[in-house]
Amino acid sequence: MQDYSIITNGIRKVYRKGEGGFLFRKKNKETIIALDDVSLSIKRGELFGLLGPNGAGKTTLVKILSTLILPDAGTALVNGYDVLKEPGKVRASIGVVSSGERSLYWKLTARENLEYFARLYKVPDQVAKRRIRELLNLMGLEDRADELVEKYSSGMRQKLAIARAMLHDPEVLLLDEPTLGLDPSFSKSIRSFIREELNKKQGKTILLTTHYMEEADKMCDRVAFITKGRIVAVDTPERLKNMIGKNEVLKLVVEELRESVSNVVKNLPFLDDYGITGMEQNSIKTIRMYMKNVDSHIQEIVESFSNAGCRILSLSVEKPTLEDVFIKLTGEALRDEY
Amino acid sequence: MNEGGWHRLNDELKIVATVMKKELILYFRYPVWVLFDALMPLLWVVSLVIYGMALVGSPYSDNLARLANTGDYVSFTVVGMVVSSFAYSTLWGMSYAMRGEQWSGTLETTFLTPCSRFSVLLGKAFSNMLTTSAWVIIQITLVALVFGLRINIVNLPLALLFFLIALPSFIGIGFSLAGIVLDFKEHSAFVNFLSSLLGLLLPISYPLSVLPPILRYFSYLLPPTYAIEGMRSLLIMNSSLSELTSLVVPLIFFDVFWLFTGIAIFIREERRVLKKGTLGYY
Repeated sequence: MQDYSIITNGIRKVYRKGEGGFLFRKKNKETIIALDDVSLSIKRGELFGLLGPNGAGKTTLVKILSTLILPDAGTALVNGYDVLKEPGKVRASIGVVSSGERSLYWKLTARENLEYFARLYKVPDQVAKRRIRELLNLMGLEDRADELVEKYSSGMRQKLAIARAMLHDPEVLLLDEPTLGLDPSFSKSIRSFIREELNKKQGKTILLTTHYMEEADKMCDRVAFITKGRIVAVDTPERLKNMIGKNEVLKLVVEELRESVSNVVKNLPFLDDYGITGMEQNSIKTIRMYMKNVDSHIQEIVESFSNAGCRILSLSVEKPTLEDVFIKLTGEALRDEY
Repeated sequence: MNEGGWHRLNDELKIVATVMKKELILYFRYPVWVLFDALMPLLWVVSLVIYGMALVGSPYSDNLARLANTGDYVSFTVVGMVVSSFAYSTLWGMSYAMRGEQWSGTLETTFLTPCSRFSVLLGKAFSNMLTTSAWVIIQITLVALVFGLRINIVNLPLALLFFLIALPSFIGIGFSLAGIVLDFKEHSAFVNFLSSLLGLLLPISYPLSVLPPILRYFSYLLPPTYAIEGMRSLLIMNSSLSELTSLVVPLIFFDVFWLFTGIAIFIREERRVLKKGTLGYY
């Protein structure tokens, strides 16, 4: 048990629409299963990725681990403390960063925000002063520490949110889509900071939720795939990608004009597997086809699609990614646009 | 209490002070808001005083003297307004600040910290009381200068003590309202309704004896009624604290009742919200 910072066992959470109405309480409540029998064990010092599409249950799990949502069933231990029985101790030992920008007081300066939260985390005054100075320095915010947060860019606010989460030097960090909405260069610097500084150098246990497969692939020691509230696979990124075998991936974006693309791919005998994504009402489809010796089949593939009246918009040969594994396991894409 | 207990209490008191400081900084970063807060109570009290004087024809009313043991309409109304302002600042302060945290998106971040929610709520209530005190002092000074105000300054410490006796019940009601706002994500409708209701039931600008009996019974269920009556007796009618036993005893009962009820309601509502997963909703 000591080797694990986070252990969940059979966590279940069901949301009931219309619950809590006062005067107009609905009789037949529609239910959404957000988490279904989620069991995970995250090792001390591990950077663990929870990868899944929007609405898969990632945020719900983070909120349960951070005591902001009560589970309907199951148990969760964070740093050895039960989230239901010892919520105060759990809160004292975790730092949480969410994707929203509004988790800080915009009418306070960065320093005032940190001083305020340091007190709420009961950090002794002298320690807080030193820690705030160090964190501002670490985040590159020391020059603008006395400016109101409302004048900050999104990336600076996210850095400040990370600093706030680390004020009390927690052993566990729960990072819920920490790079969502940030520009690529800021995302890159934040990813590098999380991996190199927080995880490798400071040894923090980190649970990172994301729907960016590159983020999970590059950063995480292990990754869990979550979809529709269920964990479908847990392993290292490399081992997960090995599930695709020695295949290569041919990615094709086509416009479906006459015949369904699924009819076309079904008739390609050399394919080991394939995945089709794209909105049902949209004629643009993305097909990822897994096969050996792609080069020898490209011409036949192009002809098959052309003969079926599909217009090929782009074609590329790629190495298997976590996205491919996810599609193979769940039949759905991590991102809508994919 | 053991050493750990004192240490925790000390931590929580520091948190109350920190929340107060933060609320005051945020408050003064909206100067227009500050200006309106300073002016509005003054406008209310002045309009009430002028209205009363227009009806009676002078600042002194024989009828009021018969009903309330004082005919000084101006002092009667100003004390009523001042005490109700303090009561309102405590009653609404916590739920208003809670709603503010919901809007700004900082409620979840606050609830992620290991501090007591009640320390945060108290910090918000006390910062509200502090700003109310500042405006009340200005209000009283201006009304005294323009209309003349006859209050017993010597009894002021006793009046403050009396207010402190009433304060836990206000805080308890404030906890309840904060809990309700946490769940129902609505503040203005509650406060508008309750302010109007209390405006009718509390003896702010008229004595209780003029209310129809049925409304008077409801009035006696409200702790601010006793606070207004008691402070008015101390500040205008020169009563001593021992003469106010009939007001102090029910207030102590309300203190115990509302503190327990307020804490229970807040904890219950917080649990409901965590169960529904709607803490971060606004």
